[in-house]
Amino acid sequence: MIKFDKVMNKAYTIRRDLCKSKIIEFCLSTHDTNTFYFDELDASNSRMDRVMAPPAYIGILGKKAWSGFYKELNLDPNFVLMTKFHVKYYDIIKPHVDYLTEARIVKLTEKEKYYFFEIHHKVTYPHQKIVDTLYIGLGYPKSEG
Amino acid sequence: MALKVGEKFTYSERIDESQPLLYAAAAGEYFTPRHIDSNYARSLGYPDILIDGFLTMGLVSKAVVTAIEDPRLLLEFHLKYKAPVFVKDTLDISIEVAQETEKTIMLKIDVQNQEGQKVFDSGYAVIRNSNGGPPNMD
Repeated sequence: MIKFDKVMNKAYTIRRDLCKSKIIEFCLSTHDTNTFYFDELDASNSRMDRVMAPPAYIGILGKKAWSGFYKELNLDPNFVLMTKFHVKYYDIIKPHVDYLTEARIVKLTEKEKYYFFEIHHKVTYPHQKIVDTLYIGLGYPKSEG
Repeated sequence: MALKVGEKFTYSERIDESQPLLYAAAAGEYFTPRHIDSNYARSLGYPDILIDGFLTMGLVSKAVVTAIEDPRLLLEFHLKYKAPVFVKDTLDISIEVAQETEKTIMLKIDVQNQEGQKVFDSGYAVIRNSNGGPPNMD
């Protein structure tokens, strides 16, 4: 049984290094051939100035924030579904930057044993907004015993 | 790159067996067997490995960046899940330049599987309008 007052609006810090090797692994998984995501020289040749990785942000940091919550809520990972995703980029996500990323449950309801939740995940550096993400989903609790 | 309202970009992505595993490694997520183990996925009633929604989003996000050619332009990305995606599915991703204002361009995103079933609903991306020149991000 989820104790709503204990999880609602409680801030969780999400740590996941967006290092170059993780970005390369993510690009391999999506067959992304845009090398400017991880190669500084290619980034420079493409006049990008800096390496950037918005798809990897979703795939690595976003996933970490999302899965952290269904673990926190003790939901069965095999019966959790995301229904909606909305991301707003205020600045470029860069590798090797120590972003502060924080997520909290902003809405939680229960209906017929299913939990419906909304998670707000924000990325800042150091106090400037970088990315805001809203995830909406539902899940079924892990069976007890 | 100059985008024009009505312009369309289409991409086809067939998801092979290696991709869910590579994604699990990148994301550090091995505890959800329905996303990496076909036998387990079938035991839950799925036809095959269920593709992690974040991998599907990554594929769609990649298509958007490929269309706009510059990831610095991406401001907003929105998807509402409609149907599950399985390994060996082919996603037809269609991106249409829907609206243009002085500062932004809205792209409508439509994703269908090989059976013509919509994978996402209300998909869109908002990008910075660079039609007047290169972006200034600093």
